[in-house]
Amino acid sequence: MRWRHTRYEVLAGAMLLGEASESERDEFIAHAATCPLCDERTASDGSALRRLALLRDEETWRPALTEAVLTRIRERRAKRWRFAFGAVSYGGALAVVLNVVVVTGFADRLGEALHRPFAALAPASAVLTPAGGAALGSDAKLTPAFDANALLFASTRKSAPVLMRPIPKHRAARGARSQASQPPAVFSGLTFGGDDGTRSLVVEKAGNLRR
Amino acid sequence: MDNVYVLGVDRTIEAEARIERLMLEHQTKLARYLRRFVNEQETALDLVQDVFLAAYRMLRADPNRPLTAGWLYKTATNHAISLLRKRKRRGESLPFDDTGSAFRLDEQSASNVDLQSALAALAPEQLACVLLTAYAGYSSAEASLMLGITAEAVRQRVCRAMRTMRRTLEVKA
Repeated sequence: MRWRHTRYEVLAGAMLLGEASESERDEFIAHAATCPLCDERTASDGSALRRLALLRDEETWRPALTEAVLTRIRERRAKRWRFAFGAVSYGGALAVVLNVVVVTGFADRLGEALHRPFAALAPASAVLTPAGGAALGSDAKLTPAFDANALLFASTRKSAPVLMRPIPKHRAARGARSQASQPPAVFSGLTFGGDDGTRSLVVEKAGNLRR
Repeated sequence: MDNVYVLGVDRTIEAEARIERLMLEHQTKLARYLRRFVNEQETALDLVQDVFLAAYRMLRADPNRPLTAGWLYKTATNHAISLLRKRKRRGESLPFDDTGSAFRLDEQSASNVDLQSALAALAPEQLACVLLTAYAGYSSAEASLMLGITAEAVRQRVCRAMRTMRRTLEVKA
């Protein structure tokens, strides 16, 4: 029966709002006569609604918010433009700085400087000649690294760790690519066959260089 | 001028001009409606500003969109309902003696203050139906479109709200 009661609440609401048709009004009144929940006052006592409608016409309060809202809108717009211009300016400045850094080669030098104290040493090969001389070549640049300790090792000791000139990783990669075009008999300990009577020795990584 | 259009400057200016016109036309009615709703003058003013800022954002995105009083009332009602719900969740409520105090400056009538107290006792959804129909002057069909419910539901809520208000006013009397 609840749905039926809901129906009469809708009818009562329509009567309160003055939207009920004559037949709806009759239907509600007939129901209200028998229903303890829906007495006739439910639909007829719309005094509060009428007072509300009167209040609307009597009110004198007139707020002036136009300027406040427009100011907020302009502030937000200025903020948005500031942000857009700022982003473009900072982006442009950053692009210029990066360009200068790359073009002048500063980036390479900086990278090298930053890597030097911490870079892992690249594996290198040392070539000992029959005359007792030594040529140390790194895998990275494929040129002898004439480090005093390395030369000392090459001529006297054969199993101690050797301090090598640190090779930045990016250079090591570049060197590894160009290694194939170099004469293998000189610098590559892995492919050196010893046909000309020389001996080869692979020098393992000795650790990070402390300065 | 094409470049200016691309940057959205004229769109913004157009939206601003439309908001200004809308405010001049509707701000007073909307502020009074919201003051009845939240029963606080300052909060009502804040909500009115929020409603027009939302309208501005919408117009900036789509300058050709028609913006009616109905949209403003719908947005205002949604803002007010969520504010009242938030207050209820936080356990904030106006002391009973303060209910209707927002109106005492320009409406000294005790019966009007009682009426405002009775409105403050309603659930936000019922209050929205009562104020949109009886106070703002919309029909139940128009109010139903604003609230996203059926016209029958609006009528039912008005009926229940009247029952609650009558009880509250009888207690006060």
